Order: sequence, then structure tokens, then C-alpha cells
Amino acid sequence: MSRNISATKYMAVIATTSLIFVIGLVIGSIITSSKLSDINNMQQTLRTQTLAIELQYDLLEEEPCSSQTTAVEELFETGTKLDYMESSLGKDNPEVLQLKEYYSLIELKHWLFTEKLRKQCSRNTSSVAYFYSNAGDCDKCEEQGFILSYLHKKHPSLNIYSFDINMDNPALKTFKQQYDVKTTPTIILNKKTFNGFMNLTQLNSVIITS
Amino acid sequence: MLYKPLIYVGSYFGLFSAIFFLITLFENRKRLSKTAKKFPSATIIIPAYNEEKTVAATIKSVLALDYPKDKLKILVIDDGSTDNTLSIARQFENSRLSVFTKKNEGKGATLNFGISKCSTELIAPLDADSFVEKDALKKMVGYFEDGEVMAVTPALKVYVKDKMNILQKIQAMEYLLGVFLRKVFGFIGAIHVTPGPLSIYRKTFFDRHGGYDEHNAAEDMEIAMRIQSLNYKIENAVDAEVRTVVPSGFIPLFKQRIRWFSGFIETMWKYKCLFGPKYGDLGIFSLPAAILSTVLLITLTFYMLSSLLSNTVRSVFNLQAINFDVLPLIKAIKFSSFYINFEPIMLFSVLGLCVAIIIINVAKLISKEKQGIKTSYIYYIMFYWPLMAFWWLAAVFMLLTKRKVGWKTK
Repeated sequence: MSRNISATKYMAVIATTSLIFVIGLVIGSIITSSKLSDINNMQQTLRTQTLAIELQYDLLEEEPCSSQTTAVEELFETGTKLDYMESSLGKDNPEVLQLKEYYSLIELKHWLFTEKLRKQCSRNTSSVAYFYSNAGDCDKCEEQGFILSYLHKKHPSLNIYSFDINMDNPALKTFKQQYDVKTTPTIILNKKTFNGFMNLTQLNSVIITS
Repeated sequence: MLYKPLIYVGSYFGLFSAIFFLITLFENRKRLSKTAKKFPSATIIIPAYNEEKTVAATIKSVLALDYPKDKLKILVIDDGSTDNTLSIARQFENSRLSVFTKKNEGKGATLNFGISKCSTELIAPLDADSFVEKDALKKMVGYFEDGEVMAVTPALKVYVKDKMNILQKIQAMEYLLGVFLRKVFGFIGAIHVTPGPLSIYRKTFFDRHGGYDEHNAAEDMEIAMRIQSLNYKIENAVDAEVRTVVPSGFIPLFKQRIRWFSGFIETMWKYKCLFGPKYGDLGIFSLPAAILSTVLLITLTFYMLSSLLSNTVRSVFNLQAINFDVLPLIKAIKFSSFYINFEPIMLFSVLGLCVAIIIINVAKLISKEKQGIKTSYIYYIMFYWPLMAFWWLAAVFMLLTKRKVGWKTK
């Protein structure tokens, strides 16, 4: 029998497949970028809120302690979304990195402010600053992060602020120097630095005593 | 990270194949069946080795065939069975049905023995655990009016007795997809397996080019590839229904697949000359696709399984670290559309799933399948691919270590 290869058919199939493929890639990237801009918007809102709270604190000169701390849940939600994007786009994605740096700064600002309130107004909140690394040099970081997020879910008044130790930013550098953060995981709880992994029991006892 | 590029290659290739198949089917939609103008003489050969449970039903289904009585002969060849196969077969002996027995030599040799006893124009081997629909033969023989056609395959489906278990449901889906693929491959001259349950051959082919390869573990693939290598045609009659008993247990199924896949590798190697443009769509698409899909299947399945395993282990460690107190975690779960995965990979997976469902339903439609397939989809999608990957690796291992692959009638 004669065997014919229909070049037209193969070309048509390749064209259709490629078209569907490109449409898939475009839809995927549109959704990804809308998610990233979602995070960006959340961060802008957070930035405004943080600034507003600080200004409120400064304005209430007589009774600064009557100012409200809000936006904690929004802050952590943004963090969770950022983690999700980091895991799906990769930790080296430039957009993710940029958002993450900005997020760390808002976190740092928030942390400083809650610490101030805790000290000056005896607020019943605990803040944990947690340094991790996802560069593959910290085996225990994932578990440590999991325990901390569990603790936050169990005790919503316990605020967790996570920072990537490899984030190269002047503010974070100073923060690390001030609290002598050199390795991961490291936890700063109520201004005290704890180097190395802490299990649930250790963390619980430290949180209760502080 | 090889995983993402591989998924993209796999999706592109899968989508390409699906579109190719559907276009081919659409192009040839008016040639789905063929009515026979005349009925050539035919012999049905039933090779049987320890098939006492099914051989009677197989013979009865053949005796009930709607085909001119003077044109149809039946041969039952007992391959030295150690059970009651021979005595059961003998009960049906008459002027049209002869029973032979010989020492156990294997299926290829048994079929060759049967072929040597035939004098009809067509020869139709039928496994002794398979059952033909009344009109199956009539719907197949019309294709032989084209002198280049050397073999015709039926629509092979799973025989359903009472309730099917999960393994059988998976195989039912697999066979249904096979019905679709064989029809499409028929249109492009690329059928490379003529299955044991009722494929019909022109006798002159055996006269000129010899019988079955008695040493091949997949003799039904070897003969199809031989027909292709000689540039003859193999057609498919999608409306000719034949049902076959499929293994219900894991071990018999595993053994069957090892035999098929080792035979596949062996035959592909033997007929490597069929690859390339000289053999049309068979050489540039269907055979390379068979190899590529196997390689992709094995690598992707093992990658997915290993990442699933490592994720599970990690989760268990994490949960252990919080003393398995999952209640606060569950309480904190909040649904957000943000976490719906819209990555291209996920979109392609969903698309692939839809295409698979379309193809299965097209197969159901063109073969006029009445059997419901509701839950079978789920089992098929969840378990078939890992099982296939596992069988393939086992088959490669068997070949590399030169272990003997035994035979049974299928």
C-alpha cells in the first residue's frame, strides 16, 4: 500500500496544539501577575494602616496607649500569600523577591511598634521575630516555621514576624546586628535572642515565662 | 528541575496526539463501518491452555455467530491442558467443529498448528476466554474486499460478568480507549497489534510469510508489525464487538502485563526499521509516540510518586512536632480563591483530563458501548498511570536480567 504523510494535517495539528498551549501559558501568566498585584495592593494598604497607627500614637501625646494595633491578621495573610507565590514561582523570582523585601520592612515596622506598645503600655501581646533561610542550608527551618504558625493559630495574641536571613536590606542588616542573628533558625522573643531550633515544649515555656 | 519542562513536553505531546486522533476520526467519519458484499470462507481457531472455566462459553458464542454455515469452520486446539479443557471442547465436536490436542508448546506454536489445518480464505484466532457478538464476523470480513488488507481487528472490550472490581474497571476503560485508538490507527495505517481475541487474517499471508513467531512473548504484536513491514493493510471494525475476560487479581494482571511489555520491547527492537517517514504515519507518529509516551509516563509517575512521598513524610514530621494537635490548624483554614492553582501546568492537567473524558466518550459512541462507566473514570485516572509505570519498569527489569516470561492464552 502507499503510505502518505499529510504535511497539511501535521501542520494544522501543530498549529492548533501550539495555539491552545500559548493560550494556556498566557492565561496562567495573567492570573499569576494579578495575584502578585493583589499582594502589592495588600502591602500598600498595610503600609497606609501602619503609618496611620503610628501617627495616631504620636498624636495622642497624652494617652498614647489608647491607640489601636490593628492589621495584624492582614499582615499575616499577606505573608501567607507571599509564601504561596514563593513556592509556586520559585524563591529567585524577581517580583517575589521585591514584594518580599517590602513585606519584611512592613513587618519590621509593625514589630517595632508592637514592641513599643508592649513596653510602654503593658499590652498583653507577645511578638516573635523569626529568622529562617530557604537557601537549602537550614534543615529545621520548615519545621520551626510550622510550629510557630501553629502557635499563632492556637494563641492569636502571639504575633509571628518571619524574616529571610538572606534578605539584603540595610534595615534588616541593622536588625540582625542588633540582635546578633547569624544562623537559622533564630527566634527573638521579647527582645531576647534564641539561636537554634526550639521544639514546641521549649517555645511554650519561653513564651509563658516572658 | 527537570520536572516542569517534562510536564510541558508531556502536555504538548498529549494534546498534539489527542487533536491528531480527533481530526483523523473526523476526516474519516463516513468510513466508520463497512458492509460485506460477500462472505469468504473462514476458520476460527481457538487455542486453549487450561481454560476449562471459559472455553464452553467461547465455543457457544462462536457457534451462535451469524455467518453462512457452509463458510465457517471452527478448530479448537488444546495445548496439552492439565484440566478439563479438552473434554469440555470435545462435547461440541461436530462436522463444523473439530478438536485437536497436542503437547504443550505455547500459544504461537498452537496457533501455527491450527493454521496448518486450515484451508479457508480467512483465519481468525480467538482466545479461549473471549466471546464474540453474533454479528462480529460479518462486520469484519467486508474489509477483505480490498486485496491489500491482510488483517482486521475487532472492537475489543472487557467481559463483564457480575460486578467488576477496581482493577477490572480500570481495564474496561483501558480497553475502551484501545477501541478508539485502534480505529484511528486503522485510518492512518498504523495498527501495530492484532489482538488474540478475534483478529482475522488472510490465509495467503501465512502461506507467503510464515506463521506466528513462536518465541515472541507478544506474538500478536509481532505478526501485526510483520504485516506493516511488508506494507500490507490492517483495518479495524469498530462495530464488531468481542469481549474478553480480564484478570481480576493483581498478580495475574501483573504477569500478563510483563508478558505484553517485554514482547513490546522485543518486537519494537526487531522492527526498528519501521521508524521513519518511509512507513508513513506509523513510522513518524504512532510508533515514536508509543515509545515517547512510555518514557514520559515512567519518569513523570516516579517523579510525582517520590514528591508525594517526601511531602507526606514532611507533613508527618511537622504534625509530630505539634503533637498532632491539628484542631487549631483546621479552625484557621480559610478558603480564598487566591490559593486556587492557575499555573499553566494545572490548566494543562485539567485540559488533559477533559480531552481524556471526551475521547473515552467518543470511543463509547463509535463502538456503541452500553456499559456504564461512571466511577471507572476516577479509578482509571488515579491508578492506571502509576500501575503502567510500575509494569513497564518490571518488564524492562525482566528483559535486562533475561528472566523467562511465561505464556498463557492472552
